[in-house]
Amino acid sequence: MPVPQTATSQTLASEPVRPSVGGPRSALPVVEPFPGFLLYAQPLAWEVVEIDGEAVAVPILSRLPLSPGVGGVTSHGDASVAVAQKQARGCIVIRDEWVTAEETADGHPGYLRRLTGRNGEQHHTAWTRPELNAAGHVVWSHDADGYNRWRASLVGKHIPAPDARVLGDMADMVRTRLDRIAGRPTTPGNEAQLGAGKARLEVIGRVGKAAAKVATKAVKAGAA
Amino acid sequence: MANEILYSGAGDYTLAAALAQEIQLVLADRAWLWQHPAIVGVGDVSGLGSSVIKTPILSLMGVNQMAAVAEGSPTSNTDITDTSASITVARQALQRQKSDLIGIVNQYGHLAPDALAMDMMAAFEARFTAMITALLDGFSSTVGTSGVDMSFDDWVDAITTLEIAGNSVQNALAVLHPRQVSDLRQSLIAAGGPVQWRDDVAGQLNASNPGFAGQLLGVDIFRSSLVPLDGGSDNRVGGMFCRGALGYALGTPKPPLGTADWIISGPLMVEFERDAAYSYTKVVGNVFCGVGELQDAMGVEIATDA
Repeated sequence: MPVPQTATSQTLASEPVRPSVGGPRSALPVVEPFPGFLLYAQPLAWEVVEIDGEAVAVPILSRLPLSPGVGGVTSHGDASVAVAQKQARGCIVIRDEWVTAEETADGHPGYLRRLTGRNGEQHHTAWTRPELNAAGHVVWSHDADGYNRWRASLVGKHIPAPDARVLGDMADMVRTRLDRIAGRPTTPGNEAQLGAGKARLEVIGRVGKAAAKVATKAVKAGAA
Repeated sequence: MANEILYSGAGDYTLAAALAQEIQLVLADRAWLWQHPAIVGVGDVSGLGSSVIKTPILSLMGVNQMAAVAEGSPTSNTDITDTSASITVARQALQRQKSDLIGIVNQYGHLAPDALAMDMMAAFEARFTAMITALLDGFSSTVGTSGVDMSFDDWVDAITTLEIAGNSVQNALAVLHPRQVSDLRQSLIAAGGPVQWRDDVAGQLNASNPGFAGQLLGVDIFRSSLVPLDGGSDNRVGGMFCRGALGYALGTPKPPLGTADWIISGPLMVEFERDAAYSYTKVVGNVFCGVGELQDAMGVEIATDA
């Protein structure tokens, strides 16, 4: 006769588990946190860059941080008032759809990227890439050419070309700086700065000539 | 020889490591812009019925000049030009949670309620500084060249830009990243002419601490690691601004209901929440604060190589 089962003689199922010895407290990199943001162009903020040897005026894009309490963003992250305030000043907020996958280094559309770090998330543009160096620190590489090309593509399509006075003011500031440097003792450093300033002035001048040509064409087309 | 008494064999009555008598704070920038006179406090939203404070900006006190009026001719009205800037207050918070066991064994006192409350205040001041530095990118006037180190010429360009806009630049404030400050110092070392003989220039050649880093040509320098990168390039985006360019608003908290353990110090409210089932004590610091740009022409962005 078999031994009857008692209340304690029940088969229990247990599952295999690997013992854990813990690990590094955090494998996340250390980055400076920065909130998500909208890029926007201001009417008077321009710079001159060279693309394929040609001087081009591109807008300097500022960031509107989407951080509650900063610049009009509400507790719930609603940035509509912040955007309206910028637009009232003549700023143009850059839409995410204005960046195609072909225009970014990583092949994804949109201009905002996010890196999660130990102290929070750092948001950056698609043309800035984080890398870990040999010491485990985050270093940033920047695709300046790609960024400049994309910004140049916005001009005329989404952002009006700069007023001629903007270029004039830019050139004035460079000329003032050159006058200041020219009055200093002749040293290799000052000579280098003079050379860089003159080169910059020449590039600004080329943009001015190109813009004047376009304006003259438009005037002639209008007259005809 | 045998049976020596060695440290390596005394595992039962020695420790692998003993804690030092005092803790060291991790390297961090602990200088903040909270309550700096260059940043205007526009008010408190307590009892106002809105989380937004609108600051009127009016064309008074010499903006409109008198005009010559011929004898026997009437004069006409001149309206006051008005504009406004709004600042939205939002919650800023930090939370820590500690177990009773760590509280029992802790020997440094840094988990005591008053120490944690101090930590909360410092956390708010750091957050306030980060909020202000995030606004520097918003000034429409920019000096500095992308990818080029900051120089004394950029400094002069910034002052010139503010002066041309009609600002009173004495006692303006420049908030710069340590990289920008050190590049400026490098530039001053090579400066010649009358610049090299100035006391403030000589002062800038000294090593500086985070926070107030001296004055140059009448403008205060505030050095902060919280000055952000451009996000689209390798530039640090600092700025120089006069009082009236940036402002902040607060929401002073009222004593909370439902908890007997709280501390209110200025804008900061620290509450302690007990979870007996988990043997946890939660410490939460809340500040209701907002920052915003008041007048764009009173500031200039300084964007230089990082």
